[in-house]
Amino acid sequence: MPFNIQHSTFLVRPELQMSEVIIDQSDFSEERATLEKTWAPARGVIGWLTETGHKQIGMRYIVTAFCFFVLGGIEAALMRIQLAKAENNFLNPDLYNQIFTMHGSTMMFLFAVPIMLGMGVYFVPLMIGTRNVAFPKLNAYGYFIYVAGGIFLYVMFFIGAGPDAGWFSYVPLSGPTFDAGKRADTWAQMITFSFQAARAGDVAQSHPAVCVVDGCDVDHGHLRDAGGNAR
Amino acid sequence: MMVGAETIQSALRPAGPEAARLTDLWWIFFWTCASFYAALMAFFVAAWIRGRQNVEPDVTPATERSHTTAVTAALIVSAIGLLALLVTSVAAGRAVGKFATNSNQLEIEVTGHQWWWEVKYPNPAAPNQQVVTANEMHIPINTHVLLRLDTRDDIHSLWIPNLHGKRDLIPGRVNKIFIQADRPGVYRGQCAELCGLQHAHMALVVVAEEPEKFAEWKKRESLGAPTPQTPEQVRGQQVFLGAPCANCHNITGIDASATLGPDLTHVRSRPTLAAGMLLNTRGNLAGWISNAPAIKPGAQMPPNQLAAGELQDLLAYLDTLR
Ligand code: HEC
Ligand SMILES: [Cu+2]
Repeated sequence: MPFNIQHSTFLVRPELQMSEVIIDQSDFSEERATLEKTWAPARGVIGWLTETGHKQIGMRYIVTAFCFFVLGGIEAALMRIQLAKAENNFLNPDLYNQIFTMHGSTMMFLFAVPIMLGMGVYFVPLMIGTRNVAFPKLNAYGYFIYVAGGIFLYVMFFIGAGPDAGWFSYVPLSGPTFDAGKRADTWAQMITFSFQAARAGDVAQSHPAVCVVDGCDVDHGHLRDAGGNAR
Repeated sequence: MMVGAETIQSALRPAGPEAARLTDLWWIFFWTCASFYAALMAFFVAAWIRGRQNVEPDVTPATERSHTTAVTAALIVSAIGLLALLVTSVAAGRAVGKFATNSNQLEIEVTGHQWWWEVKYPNPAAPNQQVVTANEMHIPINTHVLLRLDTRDDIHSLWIPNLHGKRDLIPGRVNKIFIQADRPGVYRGQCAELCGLQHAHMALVVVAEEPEKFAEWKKRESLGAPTPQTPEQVRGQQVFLGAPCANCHNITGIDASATLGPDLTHVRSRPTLAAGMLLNTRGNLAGWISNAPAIKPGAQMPPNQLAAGELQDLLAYLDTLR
């Protein structure tokens, strides 16, 4: 009965464990209907775009991150073929440098970081017993900005302006002295997007988590706000 | 195949004590990880087979206890394995990092450039006999050689796998590394830190030879360029001095002392041109001089429009620089 736990029905006693919260057994059909409506998944394309459920967003992070993982893996394979022997001519130096950078950047910023984020977005609310992360819209925004950063990076790569100064944009190589053109900017732009996503996701999910770790109790208002009333 | 391929560039075919130590470490890691992996996979398969046989999960206090024992044992074994690897790794790192105090050690300064190696044998007693070469390094065998690593522009990393691991060249500081070759040979090395467009074409060859042969080589290299003999060679020298070459290159003995490009005093004695890209043949040299960026895009040597006769004269002159 997930929907009839509502603030007004909690009889929280500090001496009780969370699992021992007593639930008033009266009829909540009206409240239930409101909540069902509020928490029902959105429909259609607009629904998909405006979806803010943490499970949905979390799963999108995980699936998208795995797509980038595959791309990064293909890049790794291309590099390994080139490096299989000295003086190999499989990739030209310029393409190699781009693929080298794309691989590292993809694996770190489009796979490793987002997959962690996705796991957190998916599991943290379940683990601490909230309906969603603290800022569901911020969380959804984070996902879209992450995808935008990834797509931007790959579009730039395919039009020949892929970054080529290493996965953390090695200085001084990435500076104006050694890297004329837009390639270092491509990388910086992707990082901006992906870090903004990470920041948004962190803020969105850390709020209730901090609350639990800090021990603010259910009645204190934080978790309730984090779940329902924030919308 | 480029020069240097006589010996395969491989970290698993050590030709010196440092590399041998690292190769041992590599095999220790390989076999430890491989056996752990094999054991883990065996347990997985066993668990899978048992899982298929037991339809009812078997959870009595006795099995619980035996599971706890198994997990604890596995944890202890893994921890011991990791600790053993850590200890061997740190020990190997310390061993190769120890700067030997060998009295007959040799010091070489290696400077990274986009995208070639400058190799200098300082001679404080007689600075005018200092040897400067590029993209090749001669060392006597059984001698500890101290390399001082510096860079003129970007980050680079020197890696001669048959002799040692990598060591970075960082702008604004001098890094050190010791190498030693136990047997004569030609060992290929390369830049191992992404340093720009032609990072891939930044190789060098290390020629390890008997001390007498090394001394001979060094003696020859410390001499200035010979005076041109034939009219063709004389004209070639004039072409060199008339063209912009002297703005970037040094040839000891004539009015050319720039250091933006490789020292050319003995350019034709080197095995390769353009940091391992081309074999040092007359034809390759002609192509390189005419249009270096076409061969090595981004290389900081401009194309040179020389008349055919001038080019032939220039090549004849460069041929004397051995
Ligand atoms: C603007 C500076 C510049 C000028 C002018 C220039 N060079 Fe160079 N040269 C370089 C640089 C830099 C390299 C190293 C390029 C590399 O390997 O990436 C080089 C490499 C070479 C090499 C190969 C050396 C080696 O050991 O790999 C030769 C030979 C050479 N130059 C000859 C000439 C001649 C002859 C001229 C005149 C016709 C000339 N250069 C003019 C900068 C210059
Ligand atoms: Cu380099």
